[in-house]
Amino acid sequence: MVIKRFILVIAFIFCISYASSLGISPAIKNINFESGKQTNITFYVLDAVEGVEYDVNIRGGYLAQYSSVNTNSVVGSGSFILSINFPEKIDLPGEHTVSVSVKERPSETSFINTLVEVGSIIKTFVPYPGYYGDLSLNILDVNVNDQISVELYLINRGDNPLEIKEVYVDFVSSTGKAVKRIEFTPVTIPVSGDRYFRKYAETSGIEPGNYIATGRVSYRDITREVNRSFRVGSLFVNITNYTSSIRGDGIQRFYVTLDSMWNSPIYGAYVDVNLTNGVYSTVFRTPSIDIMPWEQKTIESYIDTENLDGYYDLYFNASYHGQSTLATGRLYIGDNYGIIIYSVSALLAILFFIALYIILKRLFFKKRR
Amino acid sequence: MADSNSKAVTVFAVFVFIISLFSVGVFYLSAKTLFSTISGYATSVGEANLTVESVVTINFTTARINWGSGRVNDGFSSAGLNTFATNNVTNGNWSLQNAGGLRIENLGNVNVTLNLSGTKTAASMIGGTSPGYRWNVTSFESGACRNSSGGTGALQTDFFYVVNTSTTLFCNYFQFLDDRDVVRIDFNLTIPSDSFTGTLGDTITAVAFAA
Repeated sequence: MVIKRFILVIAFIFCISYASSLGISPAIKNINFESGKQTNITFYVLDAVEGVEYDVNIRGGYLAQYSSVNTNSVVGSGSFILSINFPEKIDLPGEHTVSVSVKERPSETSFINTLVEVGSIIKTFVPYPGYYGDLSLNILDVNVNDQISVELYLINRGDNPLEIKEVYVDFVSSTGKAVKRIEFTPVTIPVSGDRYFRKYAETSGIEPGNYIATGRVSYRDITREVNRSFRVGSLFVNITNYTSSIRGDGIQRFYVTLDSMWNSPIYGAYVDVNLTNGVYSTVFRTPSIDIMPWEQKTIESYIDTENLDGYYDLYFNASYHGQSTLATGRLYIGDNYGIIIYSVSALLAILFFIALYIILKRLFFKKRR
Repeated sequence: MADSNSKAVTVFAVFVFIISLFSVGVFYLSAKTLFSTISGYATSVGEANLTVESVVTINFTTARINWGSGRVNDGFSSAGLNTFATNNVTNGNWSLQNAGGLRIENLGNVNVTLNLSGTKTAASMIGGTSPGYRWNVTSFESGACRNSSGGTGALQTDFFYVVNTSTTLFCNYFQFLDDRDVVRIDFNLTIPSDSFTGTLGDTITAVAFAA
């Protein structure tokens, strides 16, 4: 046994003797289902080592049974063609795929390797029977007086052309009030076709705040609807929180929270804090901070509480980009009773469990007797 | 005679009239074609089109782990080897030559799924009594590897799994953004004192498909 423990294990290695990088393009391909027709797609092998042979495989997916490749291997950064011979009919509508891959071959000069295999997915959509429009809406946050970019996207997923009767997007405020309608020209979308409806909407007359955009498309007796929320920003930073109680003992931390309602970054915002109790008054300024669009951020600053005690009125003045926000509050400077309250609570809890233990023990003892 | 001359003139006049009408028509059509050809008036709308092809490319930026030669120390039933920077060999005299595990980088322009497989089990690679062959996949760059819901729950950073010879999905979304596109694979081996001898190793295959 002792001898066995001295047996040499020569080496443990995971290594590669040649290329460890490999790519394929396109990575994803969306194609239409074309009954009974053949579709050819060329794939390019990238980052390959010249002269080295790579295996080409059809990896799987429902359409694999209808697919073939023109070669089983490529040398270096070559290419190959995938052919899909669509059947006359695919019973199951929806998305169907086939995937192809390129794989390194294990090195014949090395016993151990790391290998890379990269693959592409080809997606084809078999239309649903009847009329089916797949609707999506893209709309971004803006500032007042900016233009709102509205993008409604409709894909015909049915097996009939969509003769659109009406296309529009409504803006509704958080109070439920309709504030604007953007109308588009109706068109007919062929089977497997798609269409973007794009327009810029002016924000004139629109108040800052939260809105819901509702896109609607009507065809035949069907109306499809999609909702997206968006915000219209104003150059306003709200003071939403602050430290209301601190211990009166030397230099203490003081926090002020700012909430940006602006859809652009705000650089160098700071707050002047005026602390007064009618007799004593002092002003300090927080460090300046940058606030990203719609971000809530807390500024940490320090206040010397030496010789301060009791309640003080706070007057905040937040300054940013030539604007200011005023707010008021109250600050208590004094002893911290929190530790005493927690200690008494913990003591009461311990006493409760001890009493419970004694009661249960007595009951159990009585039963046994 | 004069009457027949008058008739001929009339027939000629009608013929000239018809020919004139025909020539006016031909001129109109010719001119329309000509003007649409040579006019500076643009009748079509220009369109700029650009397509960026998607690419899946992954690269083993660190493709070699080597502990060199060694043995289990006298008095111990097994030795432990891992690919961490420190304490990477216990109860043995191997020396890890490049700490930090294998590293894979997503060099493409799409997120990909990342599957890994080995070709050997602990018994077939190391042999002996109770050998161990485990791996641990982590995001070397924070957020590189995401699960199906976009979180990081798929990866248990402190847990070593037994190396699987069938393909195992580790990342639903192996990201391509430059600051979060590197994944690390660490290994943890248990070498019993009665293991196989000689050069031992395995082939690690990384499979990436567009996510």
